[in-house]
Amino acid sequence: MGERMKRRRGNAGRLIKYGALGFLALVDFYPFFWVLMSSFKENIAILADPLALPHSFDFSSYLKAWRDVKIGVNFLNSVLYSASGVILILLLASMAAFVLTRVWQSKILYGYFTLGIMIPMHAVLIPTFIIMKELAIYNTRQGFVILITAANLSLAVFILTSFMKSIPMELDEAAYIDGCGYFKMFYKIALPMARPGLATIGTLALLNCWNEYLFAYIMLANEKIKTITQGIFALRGRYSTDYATLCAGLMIAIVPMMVFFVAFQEQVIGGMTAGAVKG
Amino acid sequence: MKKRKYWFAIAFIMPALILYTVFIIAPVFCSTYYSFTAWDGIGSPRMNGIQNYITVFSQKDYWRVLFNTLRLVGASVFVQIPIATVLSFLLLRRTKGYKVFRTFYFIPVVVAPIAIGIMFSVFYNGDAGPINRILDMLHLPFLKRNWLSDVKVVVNSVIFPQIWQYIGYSLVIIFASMQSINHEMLESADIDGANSFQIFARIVVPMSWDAIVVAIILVVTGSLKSFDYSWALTQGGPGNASSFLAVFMYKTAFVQNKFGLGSSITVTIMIYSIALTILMKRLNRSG
Repeated sequence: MGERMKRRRGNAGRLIKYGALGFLALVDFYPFFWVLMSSFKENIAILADPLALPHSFDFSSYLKAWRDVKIGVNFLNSVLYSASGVILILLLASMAAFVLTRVWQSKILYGYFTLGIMIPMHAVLIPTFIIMKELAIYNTRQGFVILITAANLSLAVFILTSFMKSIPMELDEAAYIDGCGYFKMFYKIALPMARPGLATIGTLALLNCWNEYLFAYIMLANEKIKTITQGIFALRGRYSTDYATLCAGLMIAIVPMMVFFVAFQEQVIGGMTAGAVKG
Repeated sequence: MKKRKYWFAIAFIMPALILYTVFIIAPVFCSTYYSFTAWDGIGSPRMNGIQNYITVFSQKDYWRVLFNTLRLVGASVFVQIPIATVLSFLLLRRTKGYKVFRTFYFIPVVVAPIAIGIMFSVFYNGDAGPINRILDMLHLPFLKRNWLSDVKVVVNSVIFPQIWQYIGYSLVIIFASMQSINHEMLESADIDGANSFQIFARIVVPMSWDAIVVAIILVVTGSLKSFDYSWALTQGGPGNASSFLAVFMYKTAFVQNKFGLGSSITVTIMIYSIALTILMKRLNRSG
């Protein structure tokens, strides 16, 4: 009997398996698909039948969200903050990691830096609000960039240190004999060699900066400097019944990170799971 | 030379060190200090001993919010993690196109939590939302609810999107560890006639237990930080029916301007977070 029974059981098993896997994929993807489709529909059409597909691809809701509701301003702000945040995080963390692995291998300092991994960010919310006000950088672009940089440093130093540790010391010695100073060693040897680590940190930092909401909500009060996450939240308040515009705004906030993820999958997954060791 | 070396080290590490100390480490001490003061954020803080903690723990809403947070922790640990573990296993066993599945599962993870919250506020909507409409289509109209205003279901409505968003995250962490299990071991178990369930329970889960614990720690500490969903969906309401600790802290400090009281809530969150992390690590060592 064996073989045939086994094969039949195998087929049923496979069906259940792919069924379950496919179902989760659908559940994960459909909500975004719904928002995308709704963003092309007219508001009346959404209310009439939320599940129907749009008749044509109408981009007027995007125009409305971008221009009239000024999501465009928020979007460009977030691009600016994310870009400067990522650059600063990469630069400061790699400088610190270089010192900690090559110049001054202080265990105490390393421990001090990685302590921050355990601190939940909103636990520092009230004091940072006060400190930002004292330093007169509350409600400023530079203040916000500094804050998101500081919030990401701990993990970045932790990950980059482990990358730089694996660069062979002989390279330094050779460079030293050739008359290289530390500064040259840093950008001629350490930075290029730590490139995979920088990619990991960069992707993680980009996602964190773009998706950040709570800090922005508290620290940025001026309309002109608010982030995309603040923008869509305001959209929900003001246009709570204009679902088409709301969906268009959501897509504007969501699509950049989704495209980025699909393009750099391995790095993004690597970055997010490198963040996992922080437990 | 030695001198130059230290000057270089100091100059190079200083920017990171200063930012990190001023905006992360110092605030932890400030929070602790504020938590023992009465302060509205404008004047100067006035010491009042443990009065804030007495107030916090005697507020009925604090316990309610703590209970909501525990419910979120429970749902994450007992719903999200098991689903992620089982699906990782299904993905592991000679599955064609596992990378495509993984891509789909990870898509929600990269989206801003506040955007997810706003998305679900539309989904739950009675007029435009697809959820009630789908229930109609499935002939289950009795399951329809006022998802965001019915006090009986609102916590679950706010918990669901968070579980949904991060199943893929837990899955990827657990899956990566399962992939590193020696293939020959699974093959020989197959040949010995072990069925899938036995392989799952006796080999795969024990061997990826470390990763499962990491995933658990992440969802637990993540739950204690949960703010955006509740804020986007209900602003914690009605009342505090769908608030979590972070939302409650925010409201106390920034809406009611009670910075001292808010700080003491912050300190309790930090303590829970550290205690749970240590507890989980213990679990890891014994498991």
